[in-house]
Amino acid sequence: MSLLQNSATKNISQMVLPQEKSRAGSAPPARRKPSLFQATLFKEWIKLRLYWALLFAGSLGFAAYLSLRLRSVHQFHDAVSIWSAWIFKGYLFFSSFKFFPLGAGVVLGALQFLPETLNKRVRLVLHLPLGEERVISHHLLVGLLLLTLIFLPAIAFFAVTGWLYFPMEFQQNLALTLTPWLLAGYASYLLTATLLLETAWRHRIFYLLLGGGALRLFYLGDFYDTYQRVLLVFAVWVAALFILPLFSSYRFRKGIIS
Amino acid sequence: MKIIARIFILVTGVLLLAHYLPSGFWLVADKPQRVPYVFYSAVENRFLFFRYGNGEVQRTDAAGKNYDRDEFEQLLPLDNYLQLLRDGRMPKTINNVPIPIDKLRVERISLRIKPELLDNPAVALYPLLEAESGRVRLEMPGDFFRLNHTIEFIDAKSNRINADKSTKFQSAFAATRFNFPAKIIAGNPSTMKPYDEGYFITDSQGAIFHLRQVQEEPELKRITDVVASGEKARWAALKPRFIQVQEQENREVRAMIIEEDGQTHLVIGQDYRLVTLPLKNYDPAKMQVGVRGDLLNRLVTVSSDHYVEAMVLNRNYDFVDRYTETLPERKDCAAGKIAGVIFPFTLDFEDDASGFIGFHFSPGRPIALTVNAVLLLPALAWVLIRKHGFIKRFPELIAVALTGVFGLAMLFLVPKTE
Repeated sequence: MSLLQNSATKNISQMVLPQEKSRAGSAPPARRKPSLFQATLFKEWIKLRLYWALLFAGSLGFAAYLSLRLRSVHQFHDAVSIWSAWIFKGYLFFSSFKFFPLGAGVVLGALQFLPETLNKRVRLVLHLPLGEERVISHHLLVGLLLLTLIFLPAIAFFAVTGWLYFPMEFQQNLALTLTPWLLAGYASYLLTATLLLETAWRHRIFYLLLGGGALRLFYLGDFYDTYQRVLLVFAVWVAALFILPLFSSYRFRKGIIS
Repeated sequence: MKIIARIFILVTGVLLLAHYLPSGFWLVADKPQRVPYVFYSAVENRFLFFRYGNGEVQRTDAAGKNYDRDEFEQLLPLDNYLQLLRDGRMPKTINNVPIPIDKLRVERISLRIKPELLDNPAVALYPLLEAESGRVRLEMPGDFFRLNHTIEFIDAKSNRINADKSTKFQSAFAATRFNFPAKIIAGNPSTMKPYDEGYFITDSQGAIFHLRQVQEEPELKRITDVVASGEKARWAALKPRFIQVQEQENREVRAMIIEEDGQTHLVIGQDYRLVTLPLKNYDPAKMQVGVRGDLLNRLVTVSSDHYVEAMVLNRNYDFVDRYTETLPERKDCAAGKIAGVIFPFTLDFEDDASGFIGFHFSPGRPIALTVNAVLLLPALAWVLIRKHGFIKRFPELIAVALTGVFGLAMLFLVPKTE
């Protein structure tokens, strides 16, 4: 625990207010020492909370804006035209949100891992008794959790607005259209982590091309349900991406540059 | 973990290269090729063509003779009547059949089914227009219906089910012994048409129904109940895969039906006469089918990017003449042969024949396997010379053997573990 505090919260120790320190210590009810995952969660939370709050507010604001815009469209056009635009033209009213998860993934990944890699600070956590795979997994899980918390209010906004103005058929379209965008968000986060933890520039460029080539495939069509048949495979691929930052951190710790 | 990660990068990279390298290749090497656009001259009873090449249109006949625009239009008076009328060149009769000018426009029909229409995402909600409202223009109703375990109308403004209307239509469906759920629901949800034909619907047993709304009342017919006795068995035996409803001014063709096996039929006239189109080579998943009709003939065409079949029927839909032409497929031209050798396979995500994203693998030529084997030699040499360890680079070597250039590229790109 002391090592953890020394290593990663060193730079921000001035920012940590006394009551927060005590909250961290007293969070578990039975005064147990927090688990290493909780410790990582707390460390990453302190590191990212400001930026996370900005992304969260951005997501919430964007979704609220799009929902209000749909409401205003409803006041100026008759419902049948709006339903027709949805059913026959594939207009889902939320499509300008599509690159938000991708951007959020890149930004969160960069904010979380750039400070760790700039002065090779991550080397310290890699030597925790946990082993590098678990410690990086913890960091990634924290990031994925924070990312999910950024996406959730937007999804909820869209679902509720859809439920207000459209029949249940809309919800399936919404889910099948949003999912590739959200998957792209998770993928961009994991790829950013991979790229930043990688030590060799030529491999960083390789990951950039690989990621760009793959993520383009999440945005091939705007029409609803077009990804229905590939969604499962895409989701499995994104889940498998989790292994890449671990691979990069292995190479990082070993100092492999070839 | 390290091995799994490297194999994951390897597989992802190979698949992406199998998509992007061939796309890049075709971006440079592809030459536009279009099958000719076919006409049928009622004046001389023979086929004529628009041929496209070098960005120009050539007007030719089957023998290859070129025509200038005026000659060509004169041979196709029913296709170019507006220009011929303006020039005062419109014939009064064609082969002794008088040509009433006022009928020319109304008797022109045109319909077309592209393969993508057969496989497209769609929301199963449909507007049922009022077919005989007494108004000049069609109007969109305020509600949409769905046909799952029953028929329900949902009012768009309130986003609630319209119970009265739903009940009225449910009893009509019960009276015609409709078996829910519906399989195909075909109609044109548009007001930009001369009248409303409603929907052709197949039930879970495959029986075909025709639904319209007339003066706010449901009109649902089981088609086998209303056709002539000689037609009943044919209608009952239909296995439709796709139905396209037609609303054209002369009200002759009511629908086009494509069956599971590719057999294609037109539904003609008030008594739902079924006309089977005697097409030779029609694959609904790959080709588009169209019908163009005028005062004297019906020209049925089937086309893909390398095959065209045109068939003329008279106004009674009896066979008159047929023309077919096959162009070399893209994979058989010079660039296609090169691609087939370099790329052992290609992966596409989009396809002209579908509105869905999918994984479309197409194999290269068999000789690509030999190329893979040849590429394996320098790959092996590189691994041995650089002392990477044969076992450690085994996945990459397998990838070279199976996927040729894609695998070879990844041999140099996948980050190493030591």
